Amino acid sequence: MTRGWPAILSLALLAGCASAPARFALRDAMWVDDDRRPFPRRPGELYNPPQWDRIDHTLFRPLSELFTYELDREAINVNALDEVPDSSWFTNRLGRAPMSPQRLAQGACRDAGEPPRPWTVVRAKPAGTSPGLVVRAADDRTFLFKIDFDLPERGTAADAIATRLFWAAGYHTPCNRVVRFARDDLALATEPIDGHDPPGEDAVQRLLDAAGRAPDGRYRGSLSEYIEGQPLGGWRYSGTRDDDPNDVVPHEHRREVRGMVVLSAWLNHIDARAENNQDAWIEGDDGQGYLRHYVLDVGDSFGQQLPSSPLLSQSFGHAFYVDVQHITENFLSLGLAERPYFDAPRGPAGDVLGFYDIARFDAEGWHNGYPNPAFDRATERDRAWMARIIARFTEAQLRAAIAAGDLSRPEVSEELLRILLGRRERILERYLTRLSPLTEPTVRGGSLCLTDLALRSGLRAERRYYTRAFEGLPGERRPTRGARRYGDRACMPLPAAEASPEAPAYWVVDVVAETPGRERTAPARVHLYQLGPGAYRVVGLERPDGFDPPG
Amino acid sequence: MSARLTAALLAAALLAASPARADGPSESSPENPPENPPAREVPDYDGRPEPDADPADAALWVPRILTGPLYLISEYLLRAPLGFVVTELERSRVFEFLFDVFVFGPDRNIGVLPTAFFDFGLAPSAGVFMFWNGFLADQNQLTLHAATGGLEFLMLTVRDRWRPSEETTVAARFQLLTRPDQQLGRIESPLPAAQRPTARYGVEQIEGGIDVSWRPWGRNLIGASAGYRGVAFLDRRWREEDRTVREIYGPDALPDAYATGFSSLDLGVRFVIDSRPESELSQGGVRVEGHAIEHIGFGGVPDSSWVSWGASAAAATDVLGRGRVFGLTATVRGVSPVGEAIVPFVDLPELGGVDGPLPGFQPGLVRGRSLAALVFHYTWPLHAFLDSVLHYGLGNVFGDTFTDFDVELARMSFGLSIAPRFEGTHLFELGLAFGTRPFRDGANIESVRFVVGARNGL
Repeated sequence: MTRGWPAILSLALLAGCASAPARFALRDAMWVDDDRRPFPRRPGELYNPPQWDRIDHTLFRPLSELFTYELDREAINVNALDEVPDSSWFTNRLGRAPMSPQRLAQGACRDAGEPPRPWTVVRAKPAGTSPGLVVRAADDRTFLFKIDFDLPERGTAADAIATRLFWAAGYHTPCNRVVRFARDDLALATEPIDGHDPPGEDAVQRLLDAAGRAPDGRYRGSLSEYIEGQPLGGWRYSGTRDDDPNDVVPHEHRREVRGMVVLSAWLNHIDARAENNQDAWIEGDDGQGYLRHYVLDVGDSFGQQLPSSPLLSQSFGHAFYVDVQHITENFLSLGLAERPYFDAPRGPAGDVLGFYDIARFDAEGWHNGYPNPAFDRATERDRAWMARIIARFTEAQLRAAIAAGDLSRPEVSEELLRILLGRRERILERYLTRLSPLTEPTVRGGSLCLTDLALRSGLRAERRYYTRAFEGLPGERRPTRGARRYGDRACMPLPAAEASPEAPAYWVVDVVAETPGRERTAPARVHLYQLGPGAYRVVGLERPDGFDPPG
Repeated sequence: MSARLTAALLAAALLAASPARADGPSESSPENPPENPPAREVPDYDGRPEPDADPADAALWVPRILTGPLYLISEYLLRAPLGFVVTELERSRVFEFLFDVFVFGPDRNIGVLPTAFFDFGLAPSAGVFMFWNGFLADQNQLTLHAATGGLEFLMLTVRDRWRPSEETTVAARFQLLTRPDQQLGRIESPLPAAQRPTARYGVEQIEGGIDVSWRPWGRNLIGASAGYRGVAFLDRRWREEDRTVREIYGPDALPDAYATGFSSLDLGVRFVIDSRPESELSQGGVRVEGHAIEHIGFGGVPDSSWVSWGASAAAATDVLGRGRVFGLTATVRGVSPVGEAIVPFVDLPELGGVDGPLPGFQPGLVRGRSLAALVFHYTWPLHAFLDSVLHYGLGNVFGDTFTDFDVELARMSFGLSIAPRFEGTHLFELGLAFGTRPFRDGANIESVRFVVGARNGL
């Protein structure tokens, strides 16, 4: 299918067209994308014009794309198991291994403690819409220091919490901490540092006067540690960098960039744009290096609000800032198109969470602040991939992340937890009930087992499984003995054929999960080689969207 | 090869040279290290051969070629050059520089902003708008607005708005204005006049005054005002094809005060009772408004005194919720001379224009001694800051205190408009509305009013 109205045309053209199925190669799934190959010439700094970015993605890019009739395509950097390999963009953390709440709470920070004081003010914050400071801790690490301006605790808490969730999901993020401090913890530099004149006492005091206070009377702010490497500007949500030989997959076709839309929807991170990303040059001892790609600023998450326009704030996540489609639909329908955000109430947590809620959350229809070329191209499989990661977050992990926000009122923390769990359930309900939520295929003792994320996440309690197997591709259907549930795993004995390492048999096994009285998901289609009696090797996992047999 | 890339290649071939992205990365390295290796191959991520080319993609070349010119226009005549210009302006921080130039003061509380094509409709003009928030007092705002479109269009407005408390506003204003583009359609009193083409006239005006208002709660308001006006009318053409009022009406039937101009002291009171809660979205409720202004004339209308009065009552309901409001507004307005006083024609209530109740009629097109209108309107939100309004109204102007009121004399007005949902003046409006002749004369469309652009709310 395609995006937008060309879909009609392409659907007609697609009728009767299908490509032949292909076997997976007999090899391990790729879990590491070797895109950290050092190269000698450091790329230049990329400038992202914030205003043009908004205008272009809101008006001009969509207009041009109307005439390209671009067909939807699946993401490129997807391995044989329908997962994303580790790379300079993404590291499988929660998606591949258990993570303790304590580890998640630490996030990208190298240790759990605060940087040693005093924090010497080096200069004013160089960019961004809100003022802040650059400070250097006693251990010589540099941090961006920010405060809450209009809404106490909102920004600093969101920054610390959402950054940890992004990190746990797999993205490269900075280490952000909420800090409480006294005036004496900030020292003013007496001379220029790194060529920058430090701000005066008055400027610092003005900033502190605007800062919120913790219940213990100390100031409240956040410290964001400078990321490793030299910053080279924010990576964009489309295209590649010509000066990075490792960057060969157009960003709009990277699954972790596309799938971010679901994570952003969960957290209501509406400000996903190039200016909030960062490429960093990671240089080795030999002077060569590579680029690592960070998601830098997610502090708008949860309840971002514009004090001047609560109504616009209510629409965050439901419509673009200037939503041409909504405006047109609302106009033509005389307002009969339902827009629940127009009367969204502020939640019980007040300004800290604003209009962040469950009731009006539409996991599929969530909107970034303005159109995003990668989010626009996210397919069902990209979205389901991120949903599977989100399914792995436990309540204990979420509590640990929320604790990092140092919210002063426990009821606000509880409310945030409630909303996160509620929105998570909506995401899982949407994306784990159509494509298969079965994952992590393993073979042991002649049995194939898969983890059922609908069970593990608590989305479903009862399950039935149906299986079928095909020898070859396209192949002959062979009888199977069904699958049984073991905890949150579904296991089935594999059929056998005459096979040897020299003449392996190729098997395609479909496992369908069904919740009695509710949905029957499309199958998890596992591809295996049988290399001998009882010797199987998983080489691929597909998630078709229907029940047609392979081939 | 993606469709977008191939389309871009086609466009590049046709154009011979495609504009490069303005903000692409630039190479920099002080040590001038060796060249980077070529880009790596795209890995084989899933261990399967690449699928065959999608036949649908090939077939889509037909519409791509057919609509190729549209793509070229969109991508290379709009997007690329605009992107280049805006990017370079942002990179050079031109917008910040201009902001610093035009807005200054310790808290950015003083500003000087140029205006163009704004002050006199779409007539060529240039002006300057200045504001000074906190002038002399914290809650005091001084604004000055000057504009010219040549010697015929001149305007200077000075306003001072002081809010001694949350509820109270004291505003003073002074304005000098001269412009040649006013229009006068018909003055229907006591009965609809014979068909006359619209006439043009110029105006020279000086006015000033003070206005005090008190909003005890919500949108409810009580106010009083006192002011002075001195108005002279210029019987001359603005454009060659125009006909002046004297040419249309004849020297013996000129509208009152047209030949002499007038001066007046204006003393007014007004009230608003409004049950609608303050909200960003349109709300249902009841609104009653009334005003009366006594004008004490001198100059061209010596020993004259007249009273302008008006009232409106509106009931609206957000029956569908979410700012989708149906409403009905009844409006009456009039002007009553005291004794045999002359009432300047510009003080006669008018049906349309910016302040009239029936938006389908152009400014100045229909005036009379009294006015009655009933308007049904439906307002619905288009976006967080944008409303659309559909209206259908009936009404007309009549003789003294509706002496010749007859339903058959009613005119219709209907139309649609889009405007930001801000209290007070609109910053932008897009509207199309129609006004008709009276039912008795066939109710054919007589006025088409298309509004696009900004309304002068400075």
